[in-house]
Amino acid sequence: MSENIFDDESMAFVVLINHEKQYSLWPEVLTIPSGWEQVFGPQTRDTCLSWLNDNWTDLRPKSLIEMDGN
Amino acid sequence: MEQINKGMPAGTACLYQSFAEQVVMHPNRIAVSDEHSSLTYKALKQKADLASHRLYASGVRTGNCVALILPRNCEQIIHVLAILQLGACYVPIDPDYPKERIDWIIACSQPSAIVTQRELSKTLWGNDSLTKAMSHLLFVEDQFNFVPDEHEKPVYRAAGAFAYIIFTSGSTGNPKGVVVGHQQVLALINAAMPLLDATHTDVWALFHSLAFDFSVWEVWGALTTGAKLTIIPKSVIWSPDALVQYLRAEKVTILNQTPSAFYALIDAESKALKMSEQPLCLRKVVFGGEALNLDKVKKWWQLYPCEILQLINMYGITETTVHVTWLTLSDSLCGTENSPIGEGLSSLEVLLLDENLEKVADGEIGEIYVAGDQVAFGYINRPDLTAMRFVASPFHTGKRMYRSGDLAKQIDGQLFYFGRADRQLKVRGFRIEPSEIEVVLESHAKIQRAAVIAKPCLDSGLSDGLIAILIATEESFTAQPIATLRNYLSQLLPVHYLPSDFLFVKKFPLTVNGKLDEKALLMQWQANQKSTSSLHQQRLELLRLKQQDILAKSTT
Repeated sequence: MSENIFDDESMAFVVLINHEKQYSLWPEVLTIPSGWEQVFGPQTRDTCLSWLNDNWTDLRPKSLIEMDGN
Repeated sequence: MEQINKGMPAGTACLYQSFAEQVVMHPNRIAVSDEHSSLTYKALKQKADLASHRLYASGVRTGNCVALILPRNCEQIIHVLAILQLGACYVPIDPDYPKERIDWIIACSQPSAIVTQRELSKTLWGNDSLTKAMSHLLFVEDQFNFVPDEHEKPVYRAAGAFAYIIFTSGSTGNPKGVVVGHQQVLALINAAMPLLDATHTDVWALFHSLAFDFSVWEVWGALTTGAKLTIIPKSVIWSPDALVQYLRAEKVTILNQTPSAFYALIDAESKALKMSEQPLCLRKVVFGGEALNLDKVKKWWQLYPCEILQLINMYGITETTVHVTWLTLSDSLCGTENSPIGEGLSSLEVLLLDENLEKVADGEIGEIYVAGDQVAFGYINRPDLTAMRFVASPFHTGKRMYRSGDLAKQIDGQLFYFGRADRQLKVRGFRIEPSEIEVVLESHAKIQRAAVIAKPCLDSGLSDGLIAILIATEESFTAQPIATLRNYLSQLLPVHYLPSDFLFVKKFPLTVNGKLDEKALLMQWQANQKSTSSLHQQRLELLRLKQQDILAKSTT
């Protein structure tokens, strides 16, 4: 229980995105949940995390960005 | 008022608007008070409007962050409202935080203004802060000099995505800023206020620091229901005796407490009632922030039966907007194993999952994942951390769930808290849940409270046994109890669960948020080790001198 699957560095990960342009790290061995698409990977956990730091630039969901108009 | 939320789609109400509705309904009721002043709803709105004008004039716009470093007074609430009104987001910083932490939070959230007091800023940054290096500092005491320019009217964009950023300490590394929106707070309020049966006649105490998210519940619980928020002075917060007097004088009806703070309050109130003080006006006490030990609450029910004064346990996480579950406590729950936390609020879903993200069976321990309307946006400037904690939900199409790191099990729809997944200790190869040992220790008649921490090994980073830090119910017990305690524990726990070291203390150190400070506990133990070993050294030295003396005498 103490080692969560998302923290297991020995596994391969992918990066998922949803319709709100929110991202999720995802273990490659698990089925991708509905409403999400793979945008990066499979790669090591670290590589996925650096990709996220480079590519996820706005924490706001898409609908709120549109509402704010900028 | 009509400018607020102009052009916003339906269903995008904001916190400021909820407050403004109360201003219309209860203009002359007291909204907020501190030890020096009080403001009606109408007066609070006027002050907040003026403050938002000043923030706007100094460049604050929708989507910006504004740091708040203020002592406990009405200015805090005025400025929270002023910031939200502009569609900006407040970043509360406790003035008692260490300077490094304050600087870290500011560097991380990049506020477009810092609202503080001249004196506080001098203490923090010296006279430098008054130079242009920190030109975005706004001192509340200069507010009265501000003359609003009628031509430069603030643009109200109050539904702006972010409402506040609260920094929480991770188990390792730097604090991380949790970004929460208006919608999440409103989801909490809408789900929990009917359960609390809160009305405009209630008096809420602001007990917690704005930098601890329990305060979000206190502030908005009051201001969205037309109730009064009374800001407890700093000197009263940490004195249980002063606090019970304050609760009487202010006729507080809703109090929120961490269990650690409440255990101390029970004794103080018991004393007060013995001195034939009037009973408290309290209607509800809400627990949050830490696991609750029900056995410790029994004493309170002798003072106030649960039919008169409801005690409510709420498990929560900053990342899912203060509270997640709800449980009305009663005598009949005593004796249940671990901490009962009840059921999830209607605005969210609590999932207990195993390693493969599958739901565990009833009665099995799983990790708590939270989905629904209270899930925060994520961590400011930490896309990596956000994507690893706020993860795709296999149970809600296209939605995320927050993985909490907390363990629980569910029996007949009721949740029971089982501690942090990462608080589990590994001692000499055994996996140990410290709370299980603490519960057993506290079941001993002479032990009031117990905390079990890992004993660090001097040579490696690994744990080398367990330390039990204890508060005795009677002074006399601390003299020679260890053997008795060991005996007691060995009858109830497996041998690898037995602490190797015991230390009695008068009280437990609490963090600035009122939670048990485990780091400070370990330091207390280390300091005690040093002083016992130096006492030992001194005795050896004395013995050596005496022997020399005897030797010298015998040779002459």
